[in-house]
Amino acid sequence: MEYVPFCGTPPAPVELLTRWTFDPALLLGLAAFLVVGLWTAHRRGRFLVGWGLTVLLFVSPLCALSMALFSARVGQHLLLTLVVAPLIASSVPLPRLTPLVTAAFFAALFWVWHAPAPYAGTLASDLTYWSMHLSLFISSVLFWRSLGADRPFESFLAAAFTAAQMTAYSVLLVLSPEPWHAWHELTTAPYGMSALGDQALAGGLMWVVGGLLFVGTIGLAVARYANRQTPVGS
Amino acid sequence: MTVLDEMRDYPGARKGEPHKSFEEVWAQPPGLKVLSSVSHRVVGKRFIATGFIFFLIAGFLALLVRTQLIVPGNTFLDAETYNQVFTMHGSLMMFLFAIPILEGFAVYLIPLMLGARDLIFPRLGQFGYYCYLLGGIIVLSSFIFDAAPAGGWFMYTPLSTSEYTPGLSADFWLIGITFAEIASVTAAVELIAAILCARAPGMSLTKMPVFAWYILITAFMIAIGFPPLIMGSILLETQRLLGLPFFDPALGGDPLLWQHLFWLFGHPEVYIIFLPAAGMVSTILPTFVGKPLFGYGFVVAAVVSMGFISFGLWAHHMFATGLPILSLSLFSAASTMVAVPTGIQIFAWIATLAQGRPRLTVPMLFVLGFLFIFVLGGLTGVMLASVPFNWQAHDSYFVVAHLHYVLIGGMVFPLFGAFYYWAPHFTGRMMSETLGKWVFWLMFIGFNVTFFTMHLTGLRGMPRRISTYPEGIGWDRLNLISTLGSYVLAAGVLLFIVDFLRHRRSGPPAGRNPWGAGTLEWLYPTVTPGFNFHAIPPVTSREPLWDQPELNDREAPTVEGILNVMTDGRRETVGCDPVTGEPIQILRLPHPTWIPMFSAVMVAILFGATLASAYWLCAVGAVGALLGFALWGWEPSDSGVTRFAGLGHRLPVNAIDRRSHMHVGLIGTLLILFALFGSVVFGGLFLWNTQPEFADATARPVQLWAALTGAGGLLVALFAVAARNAAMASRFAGAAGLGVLTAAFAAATAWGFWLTLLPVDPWGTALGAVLWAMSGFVAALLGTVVFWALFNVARKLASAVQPGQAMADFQLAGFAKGTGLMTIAAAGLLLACALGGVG
Repeated sequence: MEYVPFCGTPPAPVELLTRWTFDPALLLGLAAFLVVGLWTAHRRGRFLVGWGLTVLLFVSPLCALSMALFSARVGQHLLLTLVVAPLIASSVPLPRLTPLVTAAFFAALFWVWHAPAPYAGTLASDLTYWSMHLSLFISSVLFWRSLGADRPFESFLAAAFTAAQMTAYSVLLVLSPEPWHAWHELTTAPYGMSALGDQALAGGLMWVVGGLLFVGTIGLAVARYANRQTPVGS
Repeated sequence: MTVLDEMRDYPGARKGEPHKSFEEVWAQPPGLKVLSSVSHRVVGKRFIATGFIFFLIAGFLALLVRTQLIVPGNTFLDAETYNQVFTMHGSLMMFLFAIPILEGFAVYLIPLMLGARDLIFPRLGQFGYYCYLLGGIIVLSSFIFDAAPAGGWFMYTPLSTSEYTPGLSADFWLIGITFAEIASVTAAVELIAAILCARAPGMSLTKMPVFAWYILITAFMIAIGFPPLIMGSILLETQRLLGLPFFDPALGGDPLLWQHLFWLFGHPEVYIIFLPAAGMVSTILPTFVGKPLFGYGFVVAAVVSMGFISFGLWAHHMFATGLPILSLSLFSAASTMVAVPTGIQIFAWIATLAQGRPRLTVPMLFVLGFLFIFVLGGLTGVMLASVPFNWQAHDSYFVVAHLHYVLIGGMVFPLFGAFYYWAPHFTGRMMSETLGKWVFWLMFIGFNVTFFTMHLTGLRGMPRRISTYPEGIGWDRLNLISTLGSYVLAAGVLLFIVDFLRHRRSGPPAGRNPWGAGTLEWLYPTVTPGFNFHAIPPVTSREPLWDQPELNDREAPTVEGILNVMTDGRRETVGCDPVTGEPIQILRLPHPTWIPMFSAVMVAILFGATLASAYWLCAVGAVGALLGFALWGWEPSDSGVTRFAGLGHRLPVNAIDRRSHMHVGLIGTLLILFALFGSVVFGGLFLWNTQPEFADATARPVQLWAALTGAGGLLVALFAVAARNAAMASRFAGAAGLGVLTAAFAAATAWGFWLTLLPVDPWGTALGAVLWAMSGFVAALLGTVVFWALFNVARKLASAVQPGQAMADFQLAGFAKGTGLMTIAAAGLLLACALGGVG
């Protein structure tokens, strides 16, 4: 029997909104995540927002759409690593590693998982699919957790390195004259896009929206840091 | 790795000039010896004066351009000369005026504002200045040889390749500008280290004057933003000299690679020019309102965000190069997002203005002129961010008008304001308020007449870079108005020069703190003595002169502070913890010396001889420069002793520690090197991605050698770390032995790159050439490790090192770790190619 990817076969546009992923193992995992998170979180509200987004990313039709469009898949990964991860990292007690180490680890995983062969692997086995998402998620959470005002310079360098490597990857995607992932060559047409256009959109999303999410997060953190100490006499 | 936790006192103190008094130690060398000065005040003023001269030359070229365009069909300049003139106008303004003059202000002001007696790498400042001066002279001398660059300030390929630009004109640009950029990156390292490591006691990061934040972020942007252009220039020059096909599409190169590298530098460059000027505005404006800057934290966050955003947006200079259309829309949206952090700053300025009654002095007029012009330039920027409009306005005078609104509004107006504001600090006298108002209005009116009109000329379709135009197609009168406006603008600049020369003799004496400012540079009555501070006062506020009465209620030399005694006859300043600003060490500073100048001249010979293809002279320059650097580094170490510093502190001298200035300087240097490495790796990935058939045609590197080379990189780092550990435990024999091993493995690893790449023909495909360039770059760094490790060994054999003096080994270990990392990354990429990842 032919293998069906975790999020199902690429959906046609009309059936997209009916394609929710109610996989029992997924729901069980998300429930366990919720229980452990609520048990340990020191900022429950923030954790709940992060958890809710995680549910949306994997249960909602976005999961199915990512089987058809590489750009949707990239959007899913951006939200996971640049929005959910900092929310979780700042709400749950976790070990703190050195920023440059976590940044290098995250970069290596990000580039490897999005190269053609490993990417194709995630569409051929549930185990590989979840290895990708769990390792990307954990490494990005550890990355965000390692940053902080108590080590501003390492944090700054790690953030700059991460911004640079993600930008470099997205530039390559935007400028590539051929589609990288054979899987998507046949899946994008129903959405009115060529595989190459879909891939350029994925790169553009990552470059621009990913970049802005990143800058926004950093900017907020710096504003909090610089406003924290009110100077004498003003 | 720290010695601060267990402070040991060895008897290795080095005396400077113990027979001299504090004032004499800091005195300016007399007569011609002043050229050997390393003081930040002297070097900063030289950067400013030289930058201003380049401004005048480039401005004169602009007047030539405008005069040529005053009437249709003009024959004042022929087309070739016209191309040279506008190319040199842009290149001089961007590379030899805007960046250096702003760095000059930063070099001059930062120690004064932060409570330091000098920048902490004064010799690097002198070296950078002479690199800048000589590089500028190389670029300018192209006029003498009638070989001035004529390909536009961005030197686009293929126009700038030897096929379409034979002769030396492009080489003058590539070599001269790259040389001058050395000054920019050295100044960046110097400023990063100075801002982070040498502040007044108690001045935490968040208590720094906001100008220091602007300069800190700008310095980081220079360290990361200039390397793509430096690497691009090296690749292009290699293509011109040796025929390597980096940008040649026939052999798998890509002219667009140059554009990517150029704009990867060029877009941040705009912000590198804007941010220091905005920092001046954020300093001047609160003084004349009499209230602190509104929203300090948000302004800092906006500046950091701009730093990040600026590196992601270079593609919006390339809307017309055929990027995928969906991504263009995203870039369009993102380009307008820059308005957010800019808007935060503008609202912070407006809110500051609203807090009090601003005094309308001349500096304040320039600040208001800046706000007006820059906002207009920002608005046309938002227009140009829209792709359909961009395609219409591309390469027309509308773009010329926009970029002059942003650059003259965003940088030149604050700069002239800064001249009027800080002139009393330079000369002790006030410039004229009356003449100053004339200068402002002439410049403001002249500028707007010239460049507002150009928007219309552009919308009527006049393209850039044409030497003349036919009569009667609606451009005549607009061009005439622009040209007349430019003469008015020039008259304003001329009047400024008159006022500046006049005020040095007859301006009224300024006295202490003439503007009533809140920042520390105004503590002393102008002119501040050469050592800046007798004792460095503790700082508890962002506006110490407003909030700390103990600084104002007595004569400046009697203000209490740290380092009020001089023990060893040496120039010293206090070193702080980068975050909290607590004093952690005493920094010993160099006295006047000729060595940096000698090294810069030798590097100039190296570059100049390349230009003249006199390769034996290149070798002379290279050897001379290495000799200069060795002499520079040979001096006895100051580490390993402790001294009382006053205010109850006993501090180590030049501590060997991760928080020390040397380590921060090393990190800054490594940042530049990683950015250079990243640029060449990006070039490789770009070509592999866009020219897959040539990637297939490139021969595979040797797997085994690639793997061994990577392992060699690891060993180099490990041996250097072991040598450091031995040296820090004062086991110098062991450290010397490990140093020899470090050098040997570094040399072998560099040789490994050669063996790995033997099958790859650099002239065959562009990707092969990039692989060679990447490996050559890392091999050069390994060569530096060899030189440095042998240098450290030689010092130990000559017994020039005493217990506690392991700074050189400590630094080499850091450098070797960085080099090792790049070696492993490069070898990994070669291995990936060898294993079939190429095709």
